[in-house]
Amino acid sequence: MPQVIELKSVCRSFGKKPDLADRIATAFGVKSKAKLLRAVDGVDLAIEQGEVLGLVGESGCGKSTLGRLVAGILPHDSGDVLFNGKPMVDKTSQKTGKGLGVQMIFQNPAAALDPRQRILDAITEAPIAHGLIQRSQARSFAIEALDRVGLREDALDRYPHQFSGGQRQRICIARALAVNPEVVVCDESVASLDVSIQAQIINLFLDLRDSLNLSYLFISHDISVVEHVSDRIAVMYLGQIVEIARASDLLENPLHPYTQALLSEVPTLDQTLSEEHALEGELPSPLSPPSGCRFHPRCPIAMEECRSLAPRLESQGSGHRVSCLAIRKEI
Amino acid sequence: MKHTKLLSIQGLRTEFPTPDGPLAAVSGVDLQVTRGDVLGIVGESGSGKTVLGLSIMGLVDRPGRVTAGRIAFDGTDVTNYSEAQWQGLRGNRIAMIFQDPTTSLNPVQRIGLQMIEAIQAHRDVSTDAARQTVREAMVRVGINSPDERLEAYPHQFSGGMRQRVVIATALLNEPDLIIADEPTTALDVTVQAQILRDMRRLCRDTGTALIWVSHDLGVVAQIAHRLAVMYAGRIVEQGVTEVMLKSPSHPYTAGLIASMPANAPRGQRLISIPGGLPQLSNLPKGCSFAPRCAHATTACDVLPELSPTSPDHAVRCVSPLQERG
Repeated sequence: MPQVIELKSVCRSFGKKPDLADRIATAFGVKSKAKLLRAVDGVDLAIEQGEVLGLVGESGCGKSTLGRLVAGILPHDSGDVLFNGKPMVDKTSQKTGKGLGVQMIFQNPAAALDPRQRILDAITEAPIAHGLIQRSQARSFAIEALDRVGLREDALDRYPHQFSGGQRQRICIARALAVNPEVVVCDESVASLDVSIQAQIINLFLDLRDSLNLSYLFISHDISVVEHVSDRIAVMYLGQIVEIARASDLLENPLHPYTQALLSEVPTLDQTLSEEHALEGELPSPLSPPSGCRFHPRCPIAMEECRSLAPRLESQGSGHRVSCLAIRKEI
Repeated sequence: MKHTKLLSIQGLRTEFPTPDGPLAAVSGVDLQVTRGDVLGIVGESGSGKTVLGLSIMGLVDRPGRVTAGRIAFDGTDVTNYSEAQWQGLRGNRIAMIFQDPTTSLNPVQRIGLQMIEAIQAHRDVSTDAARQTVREAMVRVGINSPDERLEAYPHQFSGGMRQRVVIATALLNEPDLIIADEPTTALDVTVQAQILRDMRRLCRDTGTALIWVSHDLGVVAQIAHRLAVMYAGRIVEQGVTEVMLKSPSHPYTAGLIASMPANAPRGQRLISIPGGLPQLSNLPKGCSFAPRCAHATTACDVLPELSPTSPDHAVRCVSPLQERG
């Protein structure tokens, strides 16, 4: 399978830009106090054509930033983001082409839609602007786009507030698909929906993948959702991927202690939440990540060298890769 | 002391006036909570679960108000309590935990002071004694080095820690009943699991009754002994958690369980409930769920009563699903 998206040691930090005082201080050899938040820190990742790659992690682990880097709506600091083998278009600058191949669907459809824009315009604005369709074709094009997501023609002349949350998310999906993307980044796209509606939208995502041969990067904090839709799953912790494997491998045989803890904490109907805490404490501040393995302060099997030595993602066979010193030792 | 009736609600109706007439966010709700009981209330947005919790606490914002029914707390009718009477009860014998801990805490006051205030509002104790109680409560919810933490401001805590502070505050006066409205929804799964365990243990140790309101069946299943499922302002099914999850009687409960991705084979379409949530201003005649129900018949044009199918199971459906296996 060809890879539509490829990330090579991609980094992205946030922080204050050095001002004049900082630059003078640096020039005189004083260490700058400005703290950098490394939201994504050296991530290698690939999405194959027609594949759903799930991305899970706690809030603040950098999964949304990674999604934005893949979608090209946030520039990366270093490394390479490749789309079909070519560098990703930087959508934040106007000059460098269209970059329609990757689209994004956000968590809150109410915020993602312009409240004063009719649905017809919301869906056809981008394809008209990029010359994919003529203005005269707009209506028939929009009807087709809405039909694909299970909405009827009468939605065209209405405004976002006239729809329910689930319908609004369908509109967002129709709008994202209007420019024929190959990859769709779904950032918590079903998190704000009610359980019964969430199932409808998940079904829609699965149907669209089959009919349009789409690839997804499916980001969610809800492991049961990711588990359901994904072919492969990547687990993120403090800006780094700690484990990646086929969905069935990861769920049946999680190797990283963080993945194991995360999976055991998911509430399910069989009421199996054990009495013991699987994981103590909370995600450390990404402003000052722990030394060595970033998970070591919370890790039940941490060893002495985990404090100083940072593990790398290493293959455990059949595409299962883990970043843990203890696992490497066993082999 | 155990198994005595602590909270008893009959025919509760909470309405909000609108230009098009009153809107019943909660309608005809009957509930019983005994001491030490953990009741889970499950529903989607607009089902009335939050307004139900607020109604029990006497916290419904004007112009909304309880228009019918009776709420009895520990044998006393509190339905028509004045604000002053409520203040003696709230935070003292009934406590509430909200979804967002940030808005429950005063951002410009030290945590310790806020918690001491919660004790002294109800009891005539010295600040030193109150501080000691606060310290113990902090340790009980898993906050180490409480002395240091008491001097901190809310923004210096993480989301999970803030919710622990709120839970500790709720526990201060050893209430008989805690109402928790989506207390873990804003938290990560790992923190959620920690809080679930803590609450489960605290309720078992102290005998405090708990009403846990949530949209997430998986979360409620971990903690609640009994479940009540709400739809469009009414309870559609209630019973013992294990029984309801294994063999739900109401098609809506069954649909909710089937829609959970964890209950379906990977990559397969989920069994979803067609259509969307009904609008309270435009409820269908008869059963509110009928338009989305696969089993609906003309008999559903009349609103069914919440009728018992066994001593501790009741369902609001004309043709409840048969028990499976």
